[in-house]
Amino acid sequence: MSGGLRVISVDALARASGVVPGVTLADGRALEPNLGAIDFDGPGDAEALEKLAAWGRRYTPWSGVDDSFERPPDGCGDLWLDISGCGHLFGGESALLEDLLMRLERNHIAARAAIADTPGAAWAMARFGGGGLPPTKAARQSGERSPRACVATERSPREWALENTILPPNRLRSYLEPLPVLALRLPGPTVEALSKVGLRRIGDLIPLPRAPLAKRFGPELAKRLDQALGSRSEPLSPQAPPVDFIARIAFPECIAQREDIEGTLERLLEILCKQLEKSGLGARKLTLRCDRVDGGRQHLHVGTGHPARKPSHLLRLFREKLDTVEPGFGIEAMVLSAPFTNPMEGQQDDMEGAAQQNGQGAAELVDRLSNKLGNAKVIRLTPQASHIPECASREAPAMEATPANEPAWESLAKPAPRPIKLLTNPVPIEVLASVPDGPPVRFKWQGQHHRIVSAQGPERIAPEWWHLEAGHPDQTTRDYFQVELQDGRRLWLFREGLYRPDNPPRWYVQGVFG
Amino acid sequence: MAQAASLLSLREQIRRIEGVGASMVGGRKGDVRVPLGLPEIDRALPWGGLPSAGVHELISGATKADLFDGAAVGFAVFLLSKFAAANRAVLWCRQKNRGFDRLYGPGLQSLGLPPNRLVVVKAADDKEALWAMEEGLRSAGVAAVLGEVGKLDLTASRRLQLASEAGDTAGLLLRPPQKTLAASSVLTRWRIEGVQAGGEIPTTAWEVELLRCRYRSAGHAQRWRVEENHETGAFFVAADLCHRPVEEGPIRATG
Repeated sequence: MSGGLRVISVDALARASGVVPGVTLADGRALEPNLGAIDFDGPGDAEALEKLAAWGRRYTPWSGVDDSFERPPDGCGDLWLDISGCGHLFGGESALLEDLLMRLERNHIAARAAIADTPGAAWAMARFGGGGLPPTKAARQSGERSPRACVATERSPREWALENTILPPNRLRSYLEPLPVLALRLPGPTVEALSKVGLRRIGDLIPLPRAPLAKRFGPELAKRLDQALGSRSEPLSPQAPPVDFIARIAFPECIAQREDIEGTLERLLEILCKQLEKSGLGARKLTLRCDRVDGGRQHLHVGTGHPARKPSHLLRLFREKLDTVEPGFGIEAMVLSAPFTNPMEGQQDDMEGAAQQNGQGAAELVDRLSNKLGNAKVIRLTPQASHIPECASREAPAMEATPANEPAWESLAKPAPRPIKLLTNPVPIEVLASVPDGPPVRFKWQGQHHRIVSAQGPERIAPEWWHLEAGHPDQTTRDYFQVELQDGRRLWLFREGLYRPDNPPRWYVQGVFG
Repeated sequence: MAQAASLLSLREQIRRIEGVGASMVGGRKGDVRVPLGLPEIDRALPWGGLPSAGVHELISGATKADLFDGAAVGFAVFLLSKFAAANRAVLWCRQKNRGFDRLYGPGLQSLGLPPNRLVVVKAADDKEALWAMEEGLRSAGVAAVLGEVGKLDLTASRRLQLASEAGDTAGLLLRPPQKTLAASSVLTRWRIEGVQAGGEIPTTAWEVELLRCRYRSAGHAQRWRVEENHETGAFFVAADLCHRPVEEGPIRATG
C-alpha cells in the first residue's frame, strides 16, 4: 500500500457508493466523483468530544470521554455516561436513550448507544451490537449495581442508522456471546492470535479456563472479559465539572432600599472578584439574582468586552440597571454569579503604566456604553479584503473580540482616494457626461443643478467575478469618479455599467469626501 | 506701563481661577498640548495647539445641511487624527437619524485617522449622544470625543466642559449649519467650509475660521485656507485670509 491521502471515516452515503475506510482518496474519488473530503483534525475532534461530554452532564453528573481503548484514529469517539439513578428523571431508561440520540441526531452527530450493567458490555454492544454496521454505539447499563452508559459518537455530519440497545440486567452473557472478540477492547495482535486458533466470538472465550488463556494471550484478555461480564469492576472517572463562580448573601431582615442593594452588590462583587483572581480568570458575563420575600426573582445581566475583575468597574456597569430592580415587599437574598469567564493575567490596579491604563480605560468605557445602549449601538470599523467598496469596511460590535484573522487596515490601503462617509444606499442622480466614458460635467439632484469643476477618474471596480452569475457580466461594473463641485463639496460618483446607446447607464453618488 | 503690567497679572489670576485652558496657558497643570501641525493656526491658539482637555465647537459653514456635506466632518477627522496619534483611542458619537450614511474606514485612514482606534456610538437622539459624550469625556479612557449634536444649550455645554476637565479628555462638537450662534461655554469655536482647491484634480481644501477662542492672545489672523498636499497627504495652510489685530484691553466678554 503506497502513501497518499487515506480515508479514515465515511458516512452512509459514501459507504453506499463503495468507499470504505482504508482506501486512498484517489480511489474513493474514482468510485464517487462527488466525494467531499474533510481533513482529519485529531485535536479538534478531541476538543469536540470534551464538549460533548460536558453536554452529557444534562443527563447525569457522571460523564466523561472514554479513553480505555487505544485505537488508530477513525473519526469516531466514545463517551460514557453513568446513569445510575438518573433514568427515572427522564421517564425511564429507554426514554433517556431516545432523548439522547434524538438530540445528537438533531445536531448531525451520528451515534449509537447502548445501556448495560458494565462499561465493557456497554461498549461492546454500542460498537458491535446490532451486527453488521460499523462501530460506535453507546452502551448503557441498568441494574441494581451502578448502571452506566457509554455513548460513542462519530463526528461525521451525515446520518447513520440509529440503533439503541438496552441490556436487561443479569442477561449480559446472552447478549455478549454472539459479539466478535474485537468488542472486548483488545489490542490488534491479541485479536489476530485469537482468530488464528479459531476463537472469534466472545461466546467462544467464556467457557474456557482463565489461567491458560491469560498465560497464552496475556492478562489483558482476562481482564477485559471479566470487566465485560461484571466479575471485575471498572471504575470510571468523570470529567471535572467547571468551577462555578458564585457569591450569595442572605439577609436576616429583607431590604428594599436602593443604597442597601447597591452596598450588598459591592460586597458580592468583592467576594466574586477574589474568587476569579484565585483562578486567574476574568468575568465576561455576570448575573445578579434578587430573591424576593414573595418568591419572585429578578435577574440583571451585565457583559464586558474583555475579561474583567475590577469591582469598581463592574459595579458601575450594574449601577445603570439597578433602577429596574423592583424590591416588592423586600429582598431576602442576592446571588451574584459569573456564568461566562475568560482567562486573564494579573492586573496592576495601581500601576501607572500609561498604555495599559489607557487600553483598559477604553475597554471599560466600551463596556459601559454597550451595557447601557446595547451592543449593536457601540461599534467599531473592521476591514475586509474586498474590491467592492461598500464591503471593504464593516461595522462590528465593539464588545466582541477582534478575530485573529482580521486583516490590518494598513494592508488594505488603496492608492485611489476614498470618501470618509459612504451613503448606505447610493443616491441616483442625473448626470451630463461625454460619452462613452468621459467624466461627469454636471448633475441634477432633487431639482438642483450642480456644476462639476474638476474630476479624477475613472477608477474601474468590477464585481468579483467569482460571484457573478452568467448573464450580463458588465452590467454592474462601476466607474468611479471623485468630483469637486462649484461650491467646494467633493463627492464620489460612479457610473454603473458601460455605455450603451439604447440603454444609458445610471449614475449614483456613493460617498462624501472631507 | 505699570497699568499694563498689573492688567497682565490680573488676567493671569483670572485665568488661573477659571480652570482648564487657563491653567494650560499658565502651564500649571500637567499640560499636554496637541499641535495641529499647522503652524499658522497653532500660533493663533493660546496653547500652541489644542489642549488635552476642553471642549471645542466645529460648525459647518454650508448654506444648509444636506447629505453631501463633508467639510466640517473632514476637519473633525483631521483633528481627531492628531489626538489619536499617540496610539490612543477616540470616541465618535453619531446620530442614527441624522444622515443616511456611515463612516468609511479607508476614507478615515486617508485623512490620518486609523480606523482601528475609533469607537463609534450610534445614538438615537441628541440626549443619548450627549450622554455618551459625557461618559467618554469623564472616563479618561479615550484621547478625544467627537459628538454630532443638533441642539446644544448652555447647560449642556457646561456639563461637557466639566466632564472634559474631570477626565482630562478633549471634546469636539460637530454642529450643523447655524444661523445664529447661541452662547456656550466652549474653549474655541470654529466654522468650516469646503472650498475649491483650484487644481486639476479634486483636493481637500477648507476655509477654517476661528470664531471665538478663550484666552486668545492678541494680533493673529482668524481665517485660514487649509489644503492637502496631494502627494504626501499632509495638510498645510495655503493662505491667511483675514488679518485683524485684536486690541489689548480688558478680557472681552465671551461671545
